[in-house]
Amino acid sequence: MKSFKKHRQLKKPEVNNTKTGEFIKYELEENIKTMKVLFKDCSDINFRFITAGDTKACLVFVDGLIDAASIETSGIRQLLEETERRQLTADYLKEKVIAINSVSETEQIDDALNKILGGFTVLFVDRIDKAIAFDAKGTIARSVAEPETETSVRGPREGFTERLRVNTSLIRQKIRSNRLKIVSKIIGEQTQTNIAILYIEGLAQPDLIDEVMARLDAIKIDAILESGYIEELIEDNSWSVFPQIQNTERPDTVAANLLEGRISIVVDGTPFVLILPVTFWQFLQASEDYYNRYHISIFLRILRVLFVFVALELPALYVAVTTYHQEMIPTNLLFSIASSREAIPFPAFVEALIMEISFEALREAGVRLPKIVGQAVSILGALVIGQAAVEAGIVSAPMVIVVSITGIASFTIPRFNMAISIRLLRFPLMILAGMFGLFGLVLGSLFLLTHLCKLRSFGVPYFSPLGPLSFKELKDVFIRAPWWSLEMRPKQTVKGNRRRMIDHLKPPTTQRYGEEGE
Amino acid sequence: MRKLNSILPILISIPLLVGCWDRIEINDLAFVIASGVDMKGIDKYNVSVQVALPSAMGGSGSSGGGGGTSGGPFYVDAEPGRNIRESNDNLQLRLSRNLYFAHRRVLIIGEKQAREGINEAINVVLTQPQSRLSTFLLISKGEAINILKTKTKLDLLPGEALREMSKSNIGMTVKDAMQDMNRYGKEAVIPVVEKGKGGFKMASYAIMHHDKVAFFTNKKESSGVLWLRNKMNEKSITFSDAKKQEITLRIIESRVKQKFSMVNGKPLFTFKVIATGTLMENEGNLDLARPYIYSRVVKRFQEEVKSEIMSLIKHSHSEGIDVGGLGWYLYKSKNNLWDERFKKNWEENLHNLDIKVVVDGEILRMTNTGWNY
Repeated sequence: MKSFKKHRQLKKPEVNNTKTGEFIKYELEENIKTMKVLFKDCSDINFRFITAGDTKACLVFVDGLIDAASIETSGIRQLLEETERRQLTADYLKEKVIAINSVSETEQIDDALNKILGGFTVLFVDRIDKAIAFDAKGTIARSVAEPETETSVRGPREGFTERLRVNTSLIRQKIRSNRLKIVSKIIGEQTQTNIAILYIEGLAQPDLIDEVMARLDAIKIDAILESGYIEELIEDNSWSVFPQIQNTERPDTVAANLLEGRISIVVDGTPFVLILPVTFWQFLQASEDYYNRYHISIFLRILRVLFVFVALELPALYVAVTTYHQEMIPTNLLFSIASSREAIPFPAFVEALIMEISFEALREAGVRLPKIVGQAVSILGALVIGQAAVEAGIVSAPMVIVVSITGIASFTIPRFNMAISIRLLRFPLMILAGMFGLFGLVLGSLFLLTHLCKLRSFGVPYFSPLGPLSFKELKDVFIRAPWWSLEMRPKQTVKGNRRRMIDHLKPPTTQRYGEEGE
Repeated sequence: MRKLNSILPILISIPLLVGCWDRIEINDLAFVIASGVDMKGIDKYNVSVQVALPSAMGGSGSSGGGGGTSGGPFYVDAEPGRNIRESNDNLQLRLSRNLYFAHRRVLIIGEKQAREGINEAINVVLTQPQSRLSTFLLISKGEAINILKTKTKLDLLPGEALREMSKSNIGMTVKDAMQDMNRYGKEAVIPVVEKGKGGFKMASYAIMHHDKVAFFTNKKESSGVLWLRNKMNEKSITFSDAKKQEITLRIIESRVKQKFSMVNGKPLFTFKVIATGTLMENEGNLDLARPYIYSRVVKRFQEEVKSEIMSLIKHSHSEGIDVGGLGWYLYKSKNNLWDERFKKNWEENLHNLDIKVVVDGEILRMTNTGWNY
């Protein structure tokens, strides 16, 4: 078990260190030669030689990552028009020639290399021992669209894209405050993935920020292709089935969490942004809960909590009760179950297992297939499992009902990663129920409960505010109290500075519009 | 990790190897929905069971319909034995599925057996863990097995019909009966079921004396039972006015209170009945808004209730049966007096007691106001 502990004090092996450590030289020829060696067999690297006056220069960029028009208008043309025969300096070029917002200079070959790979255009000029990098990025990116995994009836329709800067800008648009900090990091020796850590100064706990930074810094890996890599590398308990970091495609969700003192991690190349720390109950809440009027939100939240139990325990309960505790079933229900089970060749447990597994297979098949084929699969599955199996006497009708209710219940959980955890856990519970009846079911549930209470996400108890119990926090857990009563930020993540609105925001009910007060 | 590796195989093999999966599938059970106890010679019982046949109930998968002994989705069988358990065990020898008593909701005692004593028959319900104490207790006119074999028109299972009827009757369960039988100065009253047209009829009650049936009530006495047991709510009472025109009242609420007082050194027991009703049928078109008519009708109502209760009490007390639970009332409220004066020879002295029935009747609502206004 030892080798899986996170902050081990072993000597870390270096991952593919390719640094040269060289400086940029005076002669353009030599610099270009070095670059050409470094970019050997990289056909997408473009070297564009130009002569400004009588000074030779070379633009190096990755074809496809830059905006050709932008380079031409703001870089190349000015250089070509620079006819005066005099020594060009880096400062002069930076300030007078290149008409682009983001310009920087560097003396390191490695630095220049990274800039080029990062989509910058790097200008090497003869007799200048510096390279000028300017940002003329023009990558093809998906436009901001509605997030597919988290659709909502009411709420913003924009979702994150694959580009880090687009994503951070979406959040910045929501929180226009200088206290929203966006700290950048690069992780991944090969991928050089840009990562941004977002938090609001004064709300997020400094300890928490330090801890997150430390855990991120400890990562030495060749590639970060998705935020899932980071999630698994920094979570508290790797063995737990329960997700300890939330991911979302919605900028409004991220903004809301930042405003409650949480930290989010944006990873370049994926629309899924991480939010931490989280509690179990957050996975049962949709961002829409806060936009709809509170009555419907209260109803929906209670419904979800109820259906989490259904998704987790219903098949197990059915197996336990029908094979061990027949006295618990109301007589008439028992007879209808008995009459439909009369011809079934399998024990209830096996029947449940068959049905649950085929349901999972059906769902998985539907997810991976193209949308058009996916529909065919679901129709086929519904027909085969739902009707044909019952009519053939392989599966009983009550079991089909149980499985479909369980399936629907698991889809009511708004976060996919929690839904899949719950779905996984119902198999062990079913096995326990099949072996020990209700005793086994209770035992399994107790084990889960203790595990949930023990689990922590970045220092925040996973089951809080229910365990440890905090009554005042409960108004944003099973219910969503009206906005005017949610005066305080959650206690688990924000320590001082907890008030988020003035007192008595509740609209007065007695006074009609236009009428004089007392 | 190594530690876990060594423990894991043991942990996994425990549930698989111990072999104590006491799992029973639903289709390995024979669900008894009602059972009957009849007398068969001296100290010999004939225990009959009514078992539901799920396959004949027409669930999906099974072809539905058909099956069964004589049409209904149930099966009645009986086997004699020296006690109830032995009878069940004897019957089990002939059955492919285990008799399962957890869903038995009705226990019927045959008339012959009930006159001999029902203690042994209902004790089984207490001692057998599967059985429910909330099982309804009935006494049949004639043999219990004949009741079980009767088909009903409305319910698929006669046991279900019996359960529903018992519930809307006085709802006498085995637990209640046992309690009543074992209390000082109290006797059990058990509904009597008999074969009727198209099923069963529950119109009278068996008044118990200890664990034996003393007599079956007639129609008037049956109403008395309902009044005394506070079960008259939502039931109707019909009585005639002076001009032989009937009035029907639906009782909204009724309560009986017992009272004890000493009058001239003689004990006097009073049953105070508070009853309110809705006028449902008004053949004479009486205008109850007029006070003198109202008081006349209410007086008739009170007399009717009084006579119903009195007829039951007179009959029971003459046989030494404390049907109203007066002794139990004394035991609870005037324990010293009960111990000193009444405990001895309570049953022998019952017929000498002074009993008074006071009815406080009221007609609160009416559906027919009368046309001769």
